[in-house]
Amino acid sequence: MDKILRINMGPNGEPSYTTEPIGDFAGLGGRGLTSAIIAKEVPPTCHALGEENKLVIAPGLLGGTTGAMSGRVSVGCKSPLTGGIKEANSGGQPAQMIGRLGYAAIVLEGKPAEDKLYKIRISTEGVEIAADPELKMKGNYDVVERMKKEYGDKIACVSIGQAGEMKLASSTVAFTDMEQRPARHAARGGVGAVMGSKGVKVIVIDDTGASMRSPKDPEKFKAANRAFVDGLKKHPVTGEGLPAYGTNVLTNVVNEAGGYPTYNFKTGRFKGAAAISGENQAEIMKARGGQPTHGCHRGCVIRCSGIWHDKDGHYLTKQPEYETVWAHGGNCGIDDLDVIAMLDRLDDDYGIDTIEIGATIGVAMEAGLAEFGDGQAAINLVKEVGKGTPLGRILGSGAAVTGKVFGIERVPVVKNQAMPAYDPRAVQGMGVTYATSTMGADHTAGYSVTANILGVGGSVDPLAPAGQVELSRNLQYATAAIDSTGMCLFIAFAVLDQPETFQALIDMINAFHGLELTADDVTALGKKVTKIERDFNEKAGFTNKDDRLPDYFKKEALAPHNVTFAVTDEDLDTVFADL
Amino acid sequence: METTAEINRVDIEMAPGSTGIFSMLSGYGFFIEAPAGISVNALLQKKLGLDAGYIEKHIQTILHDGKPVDDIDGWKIKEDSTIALSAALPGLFGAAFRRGGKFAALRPREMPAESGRHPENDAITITVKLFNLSARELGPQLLQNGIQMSAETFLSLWKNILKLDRGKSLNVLLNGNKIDPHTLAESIRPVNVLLSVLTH
Repeated sequence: MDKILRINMGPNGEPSYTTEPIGDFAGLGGRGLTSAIIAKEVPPTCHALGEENKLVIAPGLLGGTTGAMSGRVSVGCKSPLTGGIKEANSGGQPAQMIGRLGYAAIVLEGKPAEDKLYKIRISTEGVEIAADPELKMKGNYDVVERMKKEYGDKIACVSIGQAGEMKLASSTVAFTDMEQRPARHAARGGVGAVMGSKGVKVIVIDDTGASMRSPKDPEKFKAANRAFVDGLKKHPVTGEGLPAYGTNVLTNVVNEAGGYPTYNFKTGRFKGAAAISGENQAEIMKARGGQPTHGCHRGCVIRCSGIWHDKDGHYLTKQPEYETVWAHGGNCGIDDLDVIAMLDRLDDDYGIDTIEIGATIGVAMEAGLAEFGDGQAAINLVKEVGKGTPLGRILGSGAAVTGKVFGIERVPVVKNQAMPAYDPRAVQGMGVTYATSTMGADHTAGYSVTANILGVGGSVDPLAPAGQVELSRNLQYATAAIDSTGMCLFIAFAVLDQPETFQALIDMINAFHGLELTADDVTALGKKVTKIERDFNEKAGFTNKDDRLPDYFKKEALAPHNVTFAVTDEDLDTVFADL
Repeated sequence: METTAEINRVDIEMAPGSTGIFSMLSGYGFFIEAPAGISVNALLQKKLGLDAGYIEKHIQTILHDGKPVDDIDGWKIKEDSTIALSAALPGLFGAAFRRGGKFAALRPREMPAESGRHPENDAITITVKLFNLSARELGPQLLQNGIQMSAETFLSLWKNILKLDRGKSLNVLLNGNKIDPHTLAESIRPVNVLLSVLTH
């Protein structure tokens, strides 16, 4: 993984590609690499759908190795949704295959002069780029089936659905999973629209003949990997809770805590929560012959995903995640897992972000386009997006645009990106992260490793108001670092509580690359990535006024605890004062 | 709690391996009677039969009327309130709501609650909810002994159980008489249900 593949889609003549050494970007992977390339090479004020923007697809530092949990991939660009820098993260098989082909990143550049749609095949034999008009306005599932027929069943695909082709701001980039289904998505921020603007419908990855990447010190790597896996398996979250119920294990408890955004963030509890909970979901999957415990890529030992079958026992979609179940469920007043699963399938096929579109439908319901709780109406609205009707294009442009079009004040976004499934009034520290993240409202932006383990910022007084600000900042640094390794962010639970597991992670990276990183270096990496992203956003025109939640979170008390968001603007402005 | 005459007694006999019903108990509250002023810790040990080691290791988030409990000895439970128990949870939310966790600053922290005006020896009724692995692990014993819940809660739970199982592997008795699982809902009278589940 010492080279970067650059594919120029135009505008001068036909698309072409070059391969170059990783050069100045050595030592970076995943989010660290995508953000570094975007910050260095993309003018912050450019149009996100213009030729100057780039789409960077990068596995992590351990992509293509036998390291457990190392199959995540980062997709970076200037976001058409937020207008700032974006890294969206996904599971699936392509990251490992791209790594085995030796690429640290694939960069899509330029823009075709003509309205052509291309497919790209990357293999040990090189790169083939060909126009394929037959793929126009095809869904992700159809595209992957066509690629399998054409290139065989050993491939993985990176593709966009209709939403990406229409360059909608909620569109995703899909990555195929172990079953070659396009069910894994780099979903947030409209990254699919940028791929669509480059005229690229699908990238086929074929690593036939490529070898697993070899560590510099195989014995040390093997031992560290074993210790890392042991740490994940013995931790109650990664070893028990997530495998049993997936991320949707959160529904019941977030609801009980009064932090479950319901009816477009009007209240913090949903009466139908138990019916759509992870516990109920797991039992339904078992009864129908689905799988409640399944990995999203090979080498995953947590296996928090699953396979959802319909009432007749046929595959419909992967197990909808907590965020999806919330966005299409409680947020829209829908308590039927079959409806939610159908919406998830449509989202994956059209290539739209389940969080963004779920929040958008909530806003649309508030605007009177449908009744809260009407599952069929929600399905119909999502189908509008797939068909590209004028209404569908408005909805597919996200919650902020939809709120403006229909004159709705209660629009739960930061930097135009919809909030995920935790009301910031009930979890105020989450609100700090939503407000100040470089990505817009993002629950994964400040997620992971304790300040004490990473040694940043000193100790935190949990009862002091400033504690939330300090914790949020340190968590955002740590998250940026983990995203750069290409590790699944869920490893954070074990790393959080078990210093020896965190050390095993560092040992894996060191043994593989022949480095001597310490915990401080990992922290410094996270801080560096965050600074790169903050600088880009500032040059793109963002100010501290963009690091705010919508006003109504400060004014409207959230039932049942009747709380408002109480962190002051002055405190929010201190989050990144050290950068 | 209601007198025996006002309770629908529902006994379910399940085929071996049909353990789903225990997980499905998640989120559906049942009643427990306890002395006024009882602490959370005492409730868990004396009323639910959990030992200190299990509580420490497996009950990582406790909510009292939706508010996280950190001090399980100091926190007294009020009448008609709800105690919810959860095993370890993922994500920032899980970390923030963990009992006494390092990330408690990310959510509101509450002082131990007042127990109300009841004399210490008065009995109060508490609603208990078990979530996720707590339901799966504690459910079998509790359901074998029988739990009492409101008829409304039971009907909501029953709807989900039927949807899952379609009544195929369930043998159901209402007040000691065998009944078709699909007609049970119509026969449940208002007020409470005493539910017990046995596996053979």
